[in-house]
Amino acid sequence: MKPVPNNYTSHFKDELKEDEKLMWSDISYSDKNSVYAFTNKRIFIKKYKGSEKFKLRTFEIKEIPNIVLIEDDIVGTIKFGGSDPMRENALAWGGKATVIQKFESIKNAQEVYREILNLQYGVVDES
Amino acid sequence: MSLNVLFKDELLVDEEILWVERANQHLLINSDTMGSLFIGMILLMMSTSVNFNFISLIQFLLALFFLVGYPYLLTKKREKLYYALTNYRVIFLFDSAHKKIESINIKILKKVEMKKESEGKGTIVFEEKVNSHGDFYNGDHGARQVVLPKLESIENIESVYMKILEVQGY
Repeated sequence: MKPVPNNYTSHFKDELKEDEKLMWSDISYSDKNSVYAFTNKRIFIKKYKGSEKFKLRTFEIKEIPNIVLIEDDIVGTIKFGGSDPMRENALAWGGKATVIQKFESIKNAQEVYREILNLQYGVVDES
Repeated sequence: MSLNVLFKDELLVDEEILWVERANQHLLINSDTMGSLFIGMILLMMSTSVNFNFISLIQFLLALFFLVGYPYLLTKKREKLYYALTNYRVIFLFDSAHKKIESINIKILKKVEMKKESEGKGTIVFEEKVNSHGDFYNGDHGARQVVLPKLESIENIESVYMKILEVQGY
């Protein structure tokens, strides 16, 4: 994975466990109140409501049932959780697909997606 | 062209494709099309039960969309959808201008169900139910069902299902 600018580490440094290493962090390019990160174990999604209030969500990478990458021209979005490609915006009985959490409008989305998959399946990629 | 080529850039180190197929290109009778047809029938009945006016014209046009247009759009959308099974996961690939790729971690799923249809075809449904304190939902209360995509109306359903079970370690 190419090195990604790690400009947002300060938002997450207090949240890390002892054996956890921050691998990447960035801000949403469509929502400047959202910052994202992942470590060797978990995904972090931090949404600010004002300068001090925020909501933080974390979840284990190995527990995620499905991950979706949507590539755009410059940025991309990675969704974690249920998202049936045939049911998005659908009129299906049983309701729309539920998207649980996402890294919305991030740079290098393809590389980030790939690195999360590597962690999920325990793959070591030396390239 | 082998369909494997479509997935070659998506594979991780040591990942191998075990099965690949293009999504069924025919109109499928599933929950999406049934819902659309039901709404269309109601609108059609409403539009024909009153004298012709502007409202009934709008209802008739909407009925046409739900009876014909929406099922057609779903079928067109499926033309760009490809499925693959690897030794790690199931992949759904939308091969359009803005590529969309979905990876299902089948090894952690609670349920993989085969729904056999005729002529060796069928649908494989994936389910992951997370309990009220499940790690993934972190903070949400109450059990929730994750909506996962399906391998819909695929060929040789039993063979694909057995391969999935093998990847799961059964």
